[in-house]
Amino acid sequence: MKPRFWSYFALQLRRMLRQLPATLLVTVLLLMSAGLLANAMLEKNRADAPVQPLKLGMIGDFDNEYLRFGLFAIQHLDPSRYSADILVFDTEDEARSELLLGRINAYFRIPDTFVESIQRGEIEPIRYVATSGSVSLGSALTDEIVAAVGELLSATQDAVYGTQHLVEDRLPKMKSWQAGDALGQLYIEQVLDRAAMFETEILDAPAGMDLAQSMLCGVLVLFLMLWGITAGGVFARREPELAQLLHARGMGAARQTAAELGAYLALLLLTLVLIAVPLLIGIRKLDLEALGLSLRSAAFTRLSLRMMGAALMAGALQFLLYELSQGVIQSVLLQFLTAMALGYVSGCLYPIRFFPEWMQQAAQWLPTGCAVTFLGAGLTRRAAPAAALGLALYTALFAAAAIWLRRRRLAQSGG
Amino acid sequence: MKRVFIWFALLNKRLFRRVSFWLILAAVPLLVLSLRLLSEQESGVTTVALYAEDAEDPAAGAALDRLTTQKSVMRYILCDSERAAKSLVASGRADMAWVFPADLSARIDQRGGGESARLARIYTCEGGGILQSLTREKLFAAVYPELAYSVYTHYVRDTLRPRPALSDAELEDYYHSIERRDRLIELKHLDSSGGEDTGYLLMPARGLLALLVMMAALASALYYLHDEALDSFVWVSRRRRRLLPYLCHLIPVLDTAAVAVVTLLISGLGGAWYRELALMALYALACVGFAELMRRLAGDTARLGVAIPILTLAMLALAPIFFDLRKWRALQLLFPPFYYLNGVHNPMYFGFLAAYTLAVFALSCAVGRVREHIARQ
Repeated sequence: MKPRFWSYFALQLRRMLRQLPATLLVTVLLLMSAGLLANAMLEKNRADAPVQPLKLGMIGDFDNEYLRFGLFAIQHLDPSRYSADILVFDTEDEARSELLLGRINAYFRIPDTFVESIQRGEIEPIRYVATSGSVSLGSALTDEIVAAVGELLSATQDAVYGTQHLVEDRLPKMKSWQAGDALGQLYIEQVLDRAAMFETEILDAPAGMDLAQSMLCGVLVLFLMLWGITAGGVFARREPELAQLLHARGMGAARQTAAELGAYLALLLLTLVLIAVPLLIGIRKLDLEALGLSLRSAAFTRLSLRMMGAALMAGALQFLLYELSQGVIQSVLLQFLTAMALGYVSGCLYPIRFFPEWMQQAAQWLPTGCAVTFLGAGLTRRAAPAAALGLALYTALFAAAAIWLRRRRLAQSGG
Repeated sequence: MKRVFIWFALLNKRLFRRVSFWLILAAVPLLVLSLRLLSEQESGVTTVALYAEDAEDPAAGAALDRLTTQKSVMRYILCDSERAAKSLVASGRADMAWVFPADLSARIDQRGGGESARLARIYTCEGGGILQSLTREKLFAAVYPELAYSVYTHYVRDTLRPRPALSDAELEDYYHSIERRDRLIELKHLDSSGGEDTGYLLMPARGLLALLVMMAALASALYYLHDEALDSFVWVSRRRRRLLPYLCHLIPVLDTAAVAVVTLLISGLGGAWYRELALMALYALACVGFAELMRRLAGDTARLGVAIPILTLAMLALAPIFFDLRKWRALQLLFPPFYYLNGVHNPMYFGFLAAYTLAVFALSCAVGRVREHIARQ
């Protein structure tokens, strides 16, 4: 008897729905993890958040009046006091253990004879020790600023020494160190007054997604991409003999794949609906202040609906990957590698503006890039027809590729 | 020993007979090398549009040169007009615009003489934040050398007033009378190596490779559960079956770890090869122990299958790959990638990773014993 498409679809759907309770649970937990990730990203990147000062340690001989004044200036007078909290340690070991524990971002070790060496015209470098392990964006920028500060100090040093030499040569009645000190004081005044050197004008925010919105959409797309690993346990138990049997009984690769893919997508969409609906019902305003935006119910509805569209594409891609890789380990690794590779260059992990200009343009044409744009358009109340078309085309392409692979496998196995 | 090698070969065979496994392993270094090429292109964490009203002005020219020629995590776009610079900000293609006035040198001279003067106009859409504060320091650093020289000349000429008066050339000679060779501030990491010269786009690659190794371990745990359900290893003695899962997980983990180390070394991300090997070997063991613990806790493919993406996203957030969430330190300590990534520059974490590995193996054994006990009852 020729197996019917809808009977097979129902069979696959029942198989998938057995996973529903566990899948719901993991989806909720995944969303929470995604929220944690998005929150963490935004905490590091928000421009309008309360300023999160860097915590910097200092070790040095602060009995020296010059260093003591410098420390006082940084802590109480300089504009950088809003960007950094300076903590003084007695020993470098103390600072090092605070750095290891993550309580400070970095520390400066000022040699005990630093001031004397400067007065002699020599250099005993200040050591700036940053956090170990993976270097973060924040530390990369801080490192650059510290290097720039080093150049400022060097320019100041040139002027002070130059003045001292000049006084020794041309004004022998004067004490060179007094001239150097007086000049140093002028530089300190310039540095402390640097905020007043620049005029700032705030322009209207550009149309389109802001940073918070684009990162929210990026993390949601990443969540969709990683969701495919959930099905690893289900697809691990697939029996290739069943596909051959169905083929022998007259159900070709296209109908088999359509039924399985349809059941998989149904599970994915049902899971999203079961999570979105309770969130939407009775909620007038979803407060996502911690993520830097206030998401009203209308925007949440638009976002949810668009998530369904993006989920169709993600589901089709995941199904294709499961068809490509036979074997549990290969499947899971391929799902992960694809999610990370596509997600990374589409701005799901780093804001897309961090990438070269051409990459930003190209990313919009990737499946994940289309998904991010499509979701973001829901938040900004735009149409994004190109992104919608891209998602539809990719979904069709992945489904077609999966069918082709199944047909090829059946042909190779003599089915 | 011979049996171990036979097992090793057979377990590897069932992975390597699939072309997809070869392709996945081959894709890893290609992806990272592509990322390396990408990181070498013009990009920045902040994009600044620059415009000088008079490019011939010496101070403006020097500032623009300093900003655009130094290696930086910021990206600079030179604009033809102030309007173009502002429109880049308004359209979101730049984060801010810095406009240097036509008489910048004169204004710097004014400031050097103690008068107030604005040295640049900043246009931005965002009001504050750490990133804004830090990027302003770069702007100040760009104009400071000229400002420093102006303060010096004014001090000498207006305050010290040496007689006979010094010419410009003599002033300059005194200013450059010290030959500086060393930097005043040295950047170091905790193990006293020099600062890493890795583009920020490439920075997360090590963390992502570490996650890949972890994924191989978790996938192997899933595979083992599938094998258990099929009674694939029922013929193995009970005593050996306790160790078998670890061996099964070790195979794909070592394969991916080897590829990860090679990728790190050829992409320039890695340090000394022996340190990378040692750290990755220990990390591989930690992943094996962690995966086996998860397998024993989950108990079946469905539960482990749903746990894997949660663990993946949690590790992505908690491991110091893109950022270091210090306030979640207690959770960070639960996952092997945290120790591995910190161990790259801090030898202490090598010890912590070893301790973690022992702990996770002990815990997995304990959980296994408990489950056996429950199953017997």
